[in-house]
Amino acid sequence: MTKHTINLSFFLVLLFIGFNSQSQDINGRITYKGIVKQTFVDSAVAAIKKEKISMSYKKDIIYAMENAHPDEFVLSFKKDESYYYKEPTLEKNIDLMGSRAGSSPYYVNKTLDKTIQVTSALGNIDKIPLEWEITNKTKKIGKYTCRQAKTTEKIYSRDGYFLYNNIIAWFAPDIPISFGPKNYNGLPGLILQIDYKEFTLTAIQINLNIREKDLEIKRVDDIDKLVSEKESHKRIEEVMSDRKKMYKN
Amino acid sequence: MPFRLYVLFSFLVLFQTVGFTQNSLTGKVTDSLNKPLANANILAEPKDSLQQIKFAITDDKGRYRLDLKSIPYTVMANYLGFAKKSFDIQLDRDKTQDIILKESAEGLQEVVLDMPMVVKKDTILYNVNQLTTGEERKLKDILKKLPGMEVDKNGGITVNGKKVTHMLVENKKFFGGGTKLAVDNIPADAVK
Repeated sequence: MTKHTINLSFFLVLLFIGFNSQSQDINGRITYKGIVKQTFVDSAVAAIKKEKISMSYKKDIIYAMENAHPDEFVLSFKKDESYYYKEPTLEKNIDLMGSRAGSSPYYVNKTLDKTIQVTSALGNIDKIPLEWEITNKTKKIGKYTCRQAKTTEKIYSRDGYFLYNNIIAWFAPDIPISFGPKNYNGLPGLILQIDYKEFTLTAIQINLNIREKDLEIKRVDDIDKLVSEKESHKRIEEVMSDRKKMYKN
Repeated sequence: MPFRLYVLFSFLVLFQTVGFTQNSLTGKVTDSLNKPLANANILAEPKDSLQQIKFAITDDKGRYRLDLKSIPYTVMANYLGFAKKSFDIQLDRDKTQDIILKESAEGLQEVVLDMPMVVKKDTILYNVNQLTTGEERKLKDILKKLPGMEVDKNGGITVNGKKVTHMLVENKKFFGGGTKLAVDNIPADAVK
């Protein structure tokens, strides 16, 4: 009898281990390359040429723009969370313009339905979810057939007004992960490319089911201390008006 | 008053004829052991390509909801590590449809998907068409976009940190083999 129970419990343990190994959480690490658009460089250079500043200074700025370096970004995800950050810029590129694809990290939690932009100046910003519209356009990125999705995003400009930017995302339905770079997520497939007014972000490497220690997810824990997008805009406004007053004095 | 009623009535008639009625397709996505699959992707593609594509992502209890017109759709459910499942549907009223996905063997091991480049011992082949946007003007604009490759201020090229000393165009040295002349002068559309 005892022998039987031992056998049975051994079998149960084996069965349990079997189930456990099956329920491994899906994870992955995606590298994106950010590149500034030539059209943006051209218009920025044209604008600089009209500015009344010293010639040598102008030359330096134009040089920095025309030799813009690409940036690399890493997206790590596990189960219902993702973390996206910019790889540090190489020392030799420090004087040049980057990809203009931003540098703040983003944390996404699908269960809490939150997309959070991590900033030091304004706190952790609770981003408004984007409404995607899938079009019938497709294109190939790598071996993946990607579908096109479009959305518009409200942006606060430095001059103190709102503008709307169109964003095009190319996502791969064959990689069923609803994450993506920056605050762009929620599509039925991994976003492999973002086409923005000033830059493009393209996936250059995708590693799925990797060792947990290779994942870099910095969780934002104090969810109740988030700053809403509206509040963050207000704060920018305050800072800007303070600055204007300072210039006047 | 009768005029208002007339307007209201004509609006109602208009909506009946012009607008499609929307019905909702709801259900649960589970694995074969009836465990709910959260964040599964569901795509509803209309047979008529001019119609709007709909999608849903399941919540933490595996539930989804699609608001569909009464036209034929192909619904695809997909979850990482599981086999894709699709079915055709045309809704005339609200419907509940649970989807069971089966685990596929390829799901669990590590997968590395390098984007359009092939590494063969000491050669890296890039498929340039897939990496460029058509906006590039000079060779350096293309090279900058290739994974692992960097072009510095002086036209020097590094691949995965190693400096490129010779550059061959059609197997011949290009103006003595220096990279600067080549990257600044060869037009982007010459690269296929």
